[in-house]
Amino acid sequence: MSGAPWLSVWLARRLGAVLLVLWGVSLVAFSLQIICPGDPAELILRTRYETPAPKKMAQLRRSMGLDRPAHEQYLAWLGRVLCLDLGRSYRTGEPVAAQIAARLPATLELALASFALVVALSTLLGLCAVWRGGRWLDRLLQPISLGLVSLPSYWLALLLIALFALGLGWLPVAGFGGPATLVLPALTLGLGAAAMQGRVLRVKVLEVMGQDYLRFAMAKGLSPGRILLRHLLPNALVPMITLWGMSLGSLLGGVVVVETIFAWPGLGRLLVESLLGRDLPLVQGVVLLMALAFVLSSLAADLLQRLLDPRLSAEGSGV
Amino acid sequence: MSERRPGAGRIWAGGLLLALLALAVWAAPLLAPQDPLRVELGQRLQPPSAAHLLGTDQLGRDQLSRLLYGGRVSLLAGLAASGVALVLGLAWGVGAGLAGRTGDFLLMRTADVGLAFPGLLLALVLVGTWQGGMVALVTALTLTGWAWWARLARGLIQEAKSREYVLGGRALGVGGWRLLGCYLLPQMGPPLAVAAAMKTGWIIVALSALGYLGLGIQPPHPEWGAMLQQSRLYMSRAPWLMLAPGGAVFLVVLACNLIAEGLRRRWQIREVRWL
Repeated sequence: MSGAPWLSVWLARRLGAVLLVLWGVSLVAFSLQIICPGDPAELILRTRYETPAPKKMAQLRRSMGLDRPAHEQYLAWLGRVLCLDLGRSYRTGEPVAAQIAARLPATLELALASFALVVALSTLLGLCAVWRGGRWLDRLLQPISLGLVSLPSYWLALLLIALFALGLGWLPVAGFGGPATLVLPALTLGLGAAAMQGRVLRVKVLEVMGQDYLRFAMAKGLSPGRILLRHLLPNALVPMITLWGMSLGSLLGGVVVVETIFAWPGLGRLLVESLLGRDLPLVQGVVLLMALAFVLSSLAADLLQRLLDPRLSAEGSGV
Repeated sequence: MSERRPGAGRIWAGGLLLALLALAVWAAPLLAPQDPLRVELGQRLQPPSAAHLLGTDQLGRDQLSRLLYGGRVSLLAGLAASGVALVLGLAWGVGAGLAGRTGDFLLMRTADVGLAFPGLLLALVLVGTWQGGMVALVTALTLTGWAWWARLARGLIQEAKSREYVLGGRALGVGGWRLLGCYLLPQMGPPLAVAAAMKTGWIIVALSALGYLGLGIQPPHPEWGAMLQQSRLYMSRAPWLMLAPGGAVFLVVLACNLIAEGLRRRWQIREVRWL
C-alpha cells in the first residue's frame, strides 16, 4: 500500500499538466478563426446563398460578437465550450455537438477494431522472436514489418481495395454497416501501427530474455507456458502500455484519411468535409475532441502502467 | 569484408535508393517524356505503352512525367519541413534543457500543446483553414513536427548533462557555448540522426496524405498524394494509375526507414520513439 500516496501525488501533477495542455489546445483551436482568411459573416451568408450586403454583414457580425476584440471573443468562446456549447455549423445551422455525437459511434467502432488488431498482432509479432520454432518466421517477418511500417495508409487502402474488393470480390469497396465493411478500414488503419509496435515489443522481449531472473526461471525447470505467462509477458508487455495508449490516440488521428477513402461516416470524414466547406465551428469542435481523446488516452495508459508496475511508482513522482 | 560494421548494408541500400529517387526527380525536365500539364483528351486512360511508359490519366496527361514532376514537390517540401522542424525543435529542447526550472517549464509545456494533436491533425486543420499554398503547407508540417523534436532533444540533453565527462568538464571550468558545442551536442548526434531519417519519411507521408485529402498542392500541378486520389476514381478502369504514385511514396519512406534502422544498429541505439 506504500505506492498509493506516490500515485496520488503523481496523478495530481499529471492532471495539472493535462489541464494546462488542454488550455493551450483551446488557444490553438480558437486561433484557427484568426488565420482563416476572409470574413466569417460573409462566409455564412454565401453558404446560405444570400448576397453579402454590408448592412446584413454588420448585423450578423454584431450578433456573433465578431466586432469585439480578440481576447474578449476568446473568453466568450471558451466559456461556451466549457458548457459543451460548441456553436452552430456555418453551413447547416445545426448545433456542432449534435453533429459530432452523430458521427462519433462510427469512428469509435473503427478505432476500437483497429486498436484490438494492433494489440493482438503486435504481441504475436513480438513473440515470434523467442518462439523456438519461429526463428525462420522472425527472419522473414523483420523485412516484412519494415515494409509495412513504410507503407502509407492511403496506398495500403487502395491496394487492399484492389485485391479484396475489386479482384477477389470478397469484401465491399467502401461504405458503412455490418462487419464486412469494417474489415478493410480496420486493416488499413491498424496494420502499420501493429508492425511498428511489434518491432518495439520484439526488442523488449529479447531484452527480458537476457535478464538473470528469466535465465533462473528456465534453470529451475519451469514449463515454457509458465515462463511465458508469469515472467516474460508481464515484464515485456507493461512497458508497451504507454505505447498502446498513444497509438489509440494516433489511430484517432489516422481515421481522417481512412474514413475518407472508405466513405466511413465518422469524425474524420466530418473534419475533411468541414475543412473543404470552410465550416469553422465544426472544425474546431472535432479538433478539440480529438486532442482531448488523445491526451486522456495517454494519461490513462500512463496511470495503468504505474498501477501494474510497482517499480515505477517507487521511483517517485518524476514525470 | 569480415569487419563489416553492423547496419552498413541497410544504410547503403537506403541511401542509394533515396539518391536515385532524388536524382530522377531533380532531372525531371530531362527525363520526362512530356509536359506534365499537357492535356490530350483523345489519349485518356491509356494503359502503359512505349509512348506512355506508365500510361495516361483521366485527362490524357502522361503519368510518368507527372510522377517525376510531382516528386519535386513531395521531396523538396518534405525535406524543407523536416529540416526546419528539426532545427526549431532542437533549439527549443536544448534551450529547455539548459534553462532554469521556470524556463524549462514554460518551454516544455508549450511543446506539450504541440504534442496534444494526434498524427497529422494539426497540419490538416492549419492547411485547411489557412489555404496559403506551399508556404502554408511547409509551415503546417513544421508546426506539427517541431514539438516532437523539442521533447526528444530535451530528453537527450538531460541525459548528456549527467554524464561524468560533462560534469568533469564543468568542474574544469568549461562553460557556455563551448560546453554545448564540444561536450553536449556531439553526444546527441547519433539518436538525432536516427530520428531525422525516420521523421523525414513520416513527413513525406503526411504531405502526400494532405494531397490525397485535397488540401495540399492544388491542381493541375502534379503531386503524388493528389495523383493517388484521382486514380481512386478510375480504379476499375485504369488500375495501373494507382501503382506508381503510391509506390513512389512507399520507396521514399522505405529508404528513410532503412537508413534509420541501419544507423540504429550501427550505434546500438535501443529505441527511438516511433511516434
